[in-house]
Amino acid sequence: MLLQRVLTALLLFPLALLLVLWPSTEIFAPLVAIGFLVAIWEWTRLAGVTNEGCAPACWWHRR
Amino acid sequence: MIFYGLWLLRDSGLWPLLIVIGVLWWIVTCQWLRHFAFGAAPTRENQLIKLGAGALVIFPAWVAGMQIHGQPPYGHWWTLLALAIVWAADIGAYFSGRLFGKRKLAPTISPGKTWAGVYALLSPAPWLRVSAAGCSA
Repeated sequence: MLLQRVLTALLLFPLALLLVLWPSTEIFAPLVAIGFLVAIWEWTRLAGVTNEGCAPACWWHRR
Repeated sequence: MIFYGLWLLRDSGLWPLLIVIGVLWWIVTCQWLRHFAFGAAPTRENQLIKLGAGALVIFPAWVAGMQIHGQPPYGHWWTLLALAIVWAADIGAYFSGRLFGKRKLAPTISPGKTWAGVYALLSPAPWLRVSAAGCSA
């Protein structure tokens, strides 16, 4: 578990560095927005919002 | 879509307002943690409250981040500094909790956290790590 955490951090650190330092804010903003959207989705699940009663169009979204 | 709308409004005076709202909301959130039973029941109304709470965290955070990042000439580095402080504090809290953590901080809210982690957080160690990294770079 610890090893996995450390390896993940070592792998992701250069990527995070690159993401923050390299792009202009016009590029940085949508990239971060995508990440934040994932966070929002996670939050809706924590808040107890589910797809039950949702149209068949999003059946694939249910797991 | 909301993110894009916020981006278009970046020079409108809405951004500073949102940042202030975001900061104020975090103070409210601390009070919520003290009375954590509030909104715990899975009712429709509580769901809406939680979605609103999430929005009040996410959108001001994004706006504030972009505000910092877009500030020439060192905005990118300020953004990195903000992240680095959080990283260093979390890493320090994690390891000190692992090594010394005995007394639980808030078992009902977050069962893994210990007081040892808090002490590491408040100690000068995170600031030292960040500044050491900054000086060596």
